[in-house]
Amino acid sequence: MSESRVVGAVEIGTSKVAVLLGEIIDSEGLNIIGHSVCSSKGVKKGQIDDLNSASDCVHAAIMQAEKDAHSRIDEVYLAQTGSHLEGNFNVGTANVSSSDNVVHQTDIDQAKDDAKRRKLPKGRTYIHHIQNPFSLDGQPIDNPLSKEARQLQVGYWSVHGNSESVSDSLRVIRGIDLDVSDMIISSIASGAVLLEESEKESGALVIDIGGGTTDYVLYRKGYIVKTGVIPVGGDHITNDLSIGLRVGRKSAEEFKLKNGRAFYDSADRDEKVWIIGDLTIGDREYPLEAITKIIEARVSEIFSIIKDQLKEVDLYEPADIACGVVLTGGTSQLTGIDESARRNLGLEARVSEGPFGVAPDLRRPEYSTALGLLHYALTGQEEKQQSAKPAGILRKLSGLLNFD
Amino acid sequence: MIRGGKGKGSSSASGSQSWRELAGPRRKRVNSPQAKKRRQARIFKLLGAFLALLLLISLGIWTSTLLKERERPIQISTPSKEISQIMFETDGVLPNKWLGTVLKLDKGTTMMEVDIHAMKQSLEGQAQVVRASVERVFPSALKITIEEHIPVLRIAVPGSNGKVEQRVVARDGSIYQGIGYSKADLDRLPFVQPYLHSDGSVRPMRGIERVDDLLSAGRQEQPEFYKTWKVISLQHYSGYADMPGEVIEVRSSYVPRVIFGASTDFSQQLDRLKVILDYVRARGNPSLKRIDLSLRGSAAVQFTSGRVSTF
Repeated sequence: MSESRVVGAVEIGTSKVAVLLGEIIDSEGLNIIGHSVCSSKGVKKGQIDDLNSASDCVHAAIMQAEKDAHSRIDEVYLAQTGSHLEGNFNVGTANVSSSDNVVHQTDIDQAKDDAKRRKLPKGRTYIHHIQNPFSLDGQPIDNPLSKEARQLQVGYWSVHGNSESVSDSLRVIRGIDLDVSDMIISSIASGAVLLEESEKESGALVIDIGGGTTDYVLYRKGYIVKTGVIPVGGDHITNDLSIGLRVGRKSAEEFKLKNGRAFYDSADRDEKVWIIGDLTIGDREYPLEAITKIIEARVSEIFSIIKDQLKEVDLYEPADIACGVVLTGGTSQLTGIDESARRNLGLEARVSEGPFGVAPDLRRPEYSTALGLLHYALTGQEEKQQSAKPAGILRKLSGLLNFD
Repeated sequence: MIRGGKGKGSSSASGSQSWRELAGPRRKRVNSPQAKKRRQARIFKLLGAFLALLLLISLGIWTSTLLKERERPIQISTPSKEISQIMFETDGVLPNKWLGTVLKLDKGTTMMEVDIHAMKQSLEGQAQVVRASVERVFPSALKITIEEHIPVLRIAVPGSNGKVEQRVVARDGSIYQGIGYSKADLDRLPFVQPYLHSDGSVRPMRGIERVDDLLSAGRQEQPEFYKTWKVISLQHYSGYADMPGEVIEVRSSYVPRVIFGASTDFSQQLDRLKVILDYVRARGNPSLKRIDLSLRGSAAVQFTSGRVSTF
């Protein structure tokens, strides 16, 4: 008899909360059975600053998705973002223990443990350890098991965040009597579903431009070598327009979506556009050139920061990022953003069309992170530690009786 | 449907300093109206499931009780009444008293308690009964109808106490006690001296129907002479009338021995006997010793004097 479990993928973003419900059947396939998107409240730059407001909207989104799926969530996969996230690269080393210098599993485990051993300052907590290639006596190798060497090394890109911010996210989910099975960085989740394996091997940079933050992940030779979060997103563009044009945020957002372009073109010089455009009293024409320059400045800033961060760690090598930049997130819908990325980063760029194999309405950028969470729920992660749960009917029964 | 595929070396943090250690105390849970609603829905769902379970259990118990009830015989009529009357009919002479000794019905036996099939077998097991029928006549009577054997002859048999006892023989050769017959009726029946089989036994008595034919013919055609018939000897009649030499001997008070051929027409033989007896009377009624009517086309008469005449 096939066994299924319902997994909820929850992304608490600055501008919206996205929830996807997937039914995993026999750990082999996943059907998306429900979804919902709600406007976010109590979240600033990817971090929860008002627990009650955030809980209200997250809980409403979860219940809406459950209603849509006619099913209840068994476990939650939660995306984590925010400028509090930082990463560092740690290398673990193990001297091969056997006299014949053949690498055994214990040596591999020892090297991995050594890489993850680094203590964090108080108030910081690890979220992700992302393994990079092994090296045997300085030579990179994918699988060192049973190979001969004297020293084994492995690098880990470890992402950590502010304990309080992470704890707030967990408390929001636990507030509706659900437990978080796993927590995944938003950029990693997006990258998992937007890139083909061959693209990851060739090298690619996934940039998820959300409302309050921009997350990115860099793949080289199939490995995640860098992740980052910039506290700038689409909301900042809206804010800039609101100030620059002296209109409300709502009008600025509408104007951005309708007339916004991510880079300045000399053809815009003489063109003017109505700010509101519905003959409302007070509406006025404005030069498109000025508007485009406002947007371009902010978009360029985002890409420049990413470029600088990559350069800082010597990872900005266009030759190693052969597949270029893949843009996603709500702001990736801005006209010309791919061209802006191309100009600023010096890399090929494209706007993601969303992952294949899902319904067209779920291929929209706001779902890419949640889809990535479901991908992780299905495939699992290396060394994933899950608490033992009773299976099948017993698990469901225990879920039914769970009143805590 | 999304299909799975393994990623490369990404792992959610675990162990010390990982987010998994940030499980805050339950009292710090953030409540929202939606969470309360969801919790209430869960409670109602659980309550509903509990009630449904309770209903199922109750239904199970009720069904089981119902089935147990069904296993008992269903009363589809009024309770069976006690037998208050036995309607006894017979074409013979068996008295009601005899019926009581055979049936032995306990007082208070109800109509449905009585096994009428066993009762019928019991009645038909009695030698004097040819067949019996037993019917329930509701509300409280049994109707018993008996068909009895008709006695043809009397026979003397040694009793259990050494004394000779009298029995009667029916037309089918069965021998029985002869309950209910009057002495006068029995006295009118001639005794039979049975054919002795090679093992010395008299049973089975075969061919009695032929003897009955002779007696009937005698009663009708020679009623006066028939009254003198005392013994029918079957010493030379094995029961198979068509076999040669099979004769039925009548011993009467007038002629000691009259021999009838078993296979010859009795009317003819009785006619010849009448002629002989008339002739004898006409000659002054000399004492007769033996008349043999079994000879083909003639009869031999032996007188006490020793003279033998042929007719």
